[in-house]
Amino acid sequence: MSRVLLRDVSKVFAGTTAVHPTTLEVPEGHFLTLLGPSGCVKTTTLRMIAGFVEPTAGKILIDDEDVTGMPPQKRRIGMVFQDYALFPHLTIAENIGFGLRERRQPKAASRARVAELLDLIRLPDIADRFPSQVSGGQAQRVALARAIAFPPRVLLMDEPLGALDLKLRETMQFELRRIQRELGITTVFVTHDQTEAMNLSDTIAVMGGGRVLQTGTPQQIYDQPRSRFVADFIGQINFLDGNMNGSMRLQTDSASFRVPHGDATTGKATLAIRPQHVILQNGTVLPDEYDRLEGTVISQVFNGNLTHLRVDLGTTHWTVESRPGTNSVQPGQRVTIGWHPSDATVLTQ
Amino acid sequence: MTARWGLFLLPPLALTLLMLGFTQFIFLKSSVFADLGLGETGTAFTLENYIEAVTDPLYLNGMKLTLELAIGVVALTLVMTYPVAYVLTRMPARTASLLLAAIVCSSFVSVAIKILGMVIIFAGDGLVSRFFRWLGVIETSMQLLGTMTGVVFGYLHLAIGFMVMMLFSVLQTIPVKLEEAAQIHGASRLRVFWRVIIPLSLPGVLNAALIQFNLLMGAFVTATILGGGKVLTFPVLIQRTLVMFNDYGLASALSAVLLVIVLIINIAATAAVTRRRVAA
Repeated sequence: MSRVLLRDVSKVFAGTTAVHPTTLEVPEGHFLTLLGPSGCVKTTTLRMIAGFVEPTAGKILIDDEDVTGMPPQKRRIGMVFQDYALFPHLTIAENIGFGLRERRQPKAASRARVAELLDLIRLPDIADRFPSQVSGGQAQRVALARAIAFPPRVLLMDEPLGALDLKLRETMQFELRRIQRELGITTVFVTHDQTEAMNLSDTIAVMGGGRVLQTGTPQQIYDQPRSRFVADFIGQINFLDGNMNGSMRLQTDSASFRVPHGDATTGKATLAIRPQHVILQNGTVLPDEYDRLEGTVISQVFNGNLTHLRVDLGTTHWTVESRPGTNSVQPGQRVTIGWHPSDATVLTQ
Repeated sequence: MTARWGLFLLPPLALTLLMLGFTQFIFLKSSVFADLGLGETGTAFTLENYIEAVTDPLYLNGMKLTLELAIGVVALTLVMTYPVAYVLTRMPARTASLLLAAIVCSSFVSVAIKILGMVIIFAGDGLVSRFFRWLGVIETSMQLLGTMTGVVFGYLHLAIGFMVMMLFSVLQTIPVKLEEAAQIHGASRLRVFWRVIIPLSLPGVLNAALIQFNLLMGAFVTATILGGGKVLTFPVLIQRTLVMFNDYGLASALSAVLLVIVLIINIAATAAVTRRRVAA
């Protein structure tokens, strides 16, 4: 298993910079996800690692070996494509054994390896079928088996679960993680689905506008987003725009709010807070140390175990979580909401 | 409702049968009557026309030549157009459609004009001959008219554009993703071609080849004009029997023989492809 390193890699298409100089490291055995909205060139970045796209500048290293300019077939990479790209004219067993045959592995050993992989993906009985005769979930697992048949140095996955329905997607996330952990394969995964990224990854690299905006564990990305884009992309969050005046308070037109310790910057800033950290004062009394705002309830959406309220605060709309039953409010009602300053984050980008 | 709409198809069917089927039948009917000369046929049933058609060395050699020519030209055309069509499918769509449009336009020119153009450049002192003399490949003049080589060139010229278009539509259906999947899992460009592109395009390629083969089996303008009466393919022999000797019975029997042979080859080839697909 191997380490992948992108060093100042960039890509220019017809005069337009698609990927700005990017440095990214995937430690051995790690599961890294490139997460971002469509059009943020996460797939282009993946295709540069694969060798389908050559970077305009920078180097790509696998295990300290410079693979920049090396054709894909020499890189010893496995890849799962978005729509699986199984060979329709080959059986499932032949599909899985494709890489073994191309690398001239002995026939008997290949057959044993294919059988072993069919067991690993828990589909021992479909060896002689053709791709058109298996379901989407099965095809997905076959694509994974093909990618790891000849043990790759790196496994690349380009939105592999995108075509599956929600239930199956969740099962497959679990399967993927199990197999990746079991084999300890260094993995680079591309998705636009933040839940998927959270569930699977050791490290998430959030991409936007052709660059990596923030890299960290799912927890770090969620709790300490460094920019408004990252905060907004990962989960739900509320924003309040204002100015920092160096006194650890965010000044808006009408009031000022305390911000977490250490934020003594000045200039334009945004206070960000997750819905679950905002409390509705309705029957409950907000503790003294809480900062508060007043607004009007616009709508409420029942989500099973909790209710999402949209509250109009005049300059912006916030989402507030509340457990059903405890606070019963109606749209149009004036409410006071509050939060503990330490749960808020200040974003200056 | 469906049944009633289907009735509208009856008049075209009747017209087709009348114009194509019936006239063919009239012509083919004369194959079982003896030729009396001057286009007259007898009234007593006989198989002597068929016996002559399948035993006379002139016609046997004609059939052999026609089959060799058709198969050879189809094979050459495939070798020449497959890479071209492949490159076209992997080009930026704009460039590809521009180039395909150029090919389509060239096929608008009628066969007669193309062939007569070739007569001019293939002549003893024509463009081709002078070019090779200038290159120093030949000493004197090069005679392409009235030779097998000339006819092959003529056929190739007609077949290539058509074949590029047919193969383009076949190869276009193979997703680039499959090539990438093969490549990333260890296949070189050559192996990608061998293990992915060729097997996936095979049924379509065989169909295209069959269409081209059928056209060549029946083509006689090219062989007549470029062959200058010296390249006697089966359709040329039929035409001569009909127009020069007015032997309607024999010409009709020869036509029937050609029809049956082409039909058998088509059925056999289609069956082979279908069996492959069922196996797959």
